[in-house]
Amino acid sequence: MERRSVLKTTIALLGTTTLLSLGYPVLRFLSPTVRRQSGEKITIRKEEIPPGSARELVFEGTPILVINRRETGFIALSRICTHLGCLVGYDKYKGQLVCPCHAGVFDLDGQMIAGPGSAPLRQFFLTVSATHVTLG
Amino acid sequence: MRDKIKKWLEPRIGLEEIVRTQFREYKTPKGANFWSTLGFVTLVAILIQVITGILLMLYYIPHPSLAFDSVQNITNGIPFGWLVRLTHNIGSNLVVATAMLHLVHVFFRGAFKRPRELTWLTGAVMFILLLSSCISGQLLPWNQAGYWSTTVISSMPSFLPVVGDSIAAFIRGGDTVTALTLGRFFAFHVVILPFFLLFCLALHIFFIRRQGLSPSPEQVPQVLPMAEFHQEQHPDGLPCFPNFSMKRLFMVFLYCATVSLILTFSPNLFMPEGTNLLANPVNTPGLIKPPWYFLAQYQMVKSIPNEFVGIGFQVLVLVVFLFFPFFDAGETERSIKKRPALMTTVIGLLILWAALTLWGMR
Repeated sequence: MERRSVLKTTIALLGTTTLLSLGYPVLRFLSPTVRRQSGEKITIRKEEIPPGSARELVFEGTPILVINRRETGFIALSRICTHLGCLVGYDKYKGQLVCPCHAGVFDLDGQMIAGPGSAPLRQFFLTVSATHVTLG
Repeated sequence: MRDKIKKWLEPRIGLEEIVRTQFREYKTPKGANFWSTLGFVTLVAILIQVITGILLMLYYIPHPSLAFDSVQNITNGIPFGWLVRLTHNIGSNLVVATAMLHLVHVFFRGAFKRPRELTWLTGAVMFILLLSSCISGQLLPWNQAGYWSTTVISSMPSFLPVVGDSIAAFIRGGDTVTALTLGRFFAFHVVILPFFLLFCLALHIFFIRRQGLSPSPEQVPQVLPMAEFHQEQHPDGLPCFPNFSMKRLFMVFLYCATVSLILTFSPNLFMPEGTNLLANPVNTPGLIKPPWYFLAQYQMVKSIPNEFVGIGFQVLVLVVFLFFPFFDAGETERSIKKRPALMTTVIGLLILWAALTLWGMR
């Protein structure tokens, strides 16, 4: 091996090591430190959400709606519109979830009915007992 | 791949010509040694400060009730936050040291003489801006050390007659150090001072490249008459790249090694007492001292009973320092060695500065 190529390889190796040892801390420094809380539980009394109404909550850092549907019972849906992230509101007269930003409309199962975007709203796991609804 | 990029760029920006004229054919004066690289090292040190400063700014909150916690969170909560904060802290001290050494070297090399008065002036202004950046940065963590150090430093202008109190109030945004002061110092530290620093840096580099690097006093012992513009070419010198660039690279590594060494073996070297205590505006700690580069001034103000005389003397030194090439314009001798009076005065001032600094440390 020639002297020049040994020198070049050594410089390349040292340079890569230096860059990696500086790049790694910077990347770690820049990575988001707020993690989604897991293991959170929220319990609500069923009578607080009568049939046909909904309640706004923040669960695991996400704004959500717990809806008591007349026919199919309780469901917990994320309020974050899958189009561009505005928060959907519950229209109790039409039984729909409506996004104020670009008029996206979702049904009470979280499926898109009209407007831009296509993905359904994120659904959260909940358990329903005789008297309470528990999220998480 | 590299060849393809070069081929694409060549007809667009004339890359070959830039490399040839700005690096290979750009000559450094004969006898340019490691001391001559200190300007470049200072530039790299400033760049490190800018990068670490931007990183810190991502998590720092400039509000009295949140600033301290945000800095503690950077140090203890954010991954490698301690590394970024300490690098910024140690770098802020070392950059002042490299800038000082650079100024002393430039002075003894006679590189401030005609036609390089403006290069000296922009460099000296940059040095003042650098020190101001250090002062403004001290308050940002909102700890006891920074708070009271800022209180003391921002009170100094009030020793000046008539306008002193107004200047102090203007700096602080009031009679005492408050949230307004923090806002001001934050703006000064991250926007206003860096803007002027960048402006002066651009001018400084422009003057150096336009006039060419200064030859040593042994090569050109007398200031040349200035009939017309003359660019120093150094035909007998060595090419900047790779010869001088290797020296620069070595010194940059030496600088980084020094930062790493302090970071590893004495991380709190530049963290005064009270650094990890929340600022308390109703409790002045026992001993408030400025950073090492202000200890001489601090000791002088402390030792001279009349504050106005102490501050006045420092203002005078500052004016002489900034405009020295203009005051010295009548002298054509470039070598300081051949000017014993000047040499003795400058060495005497340096010894006085070192003695006052050591005295201030005690």
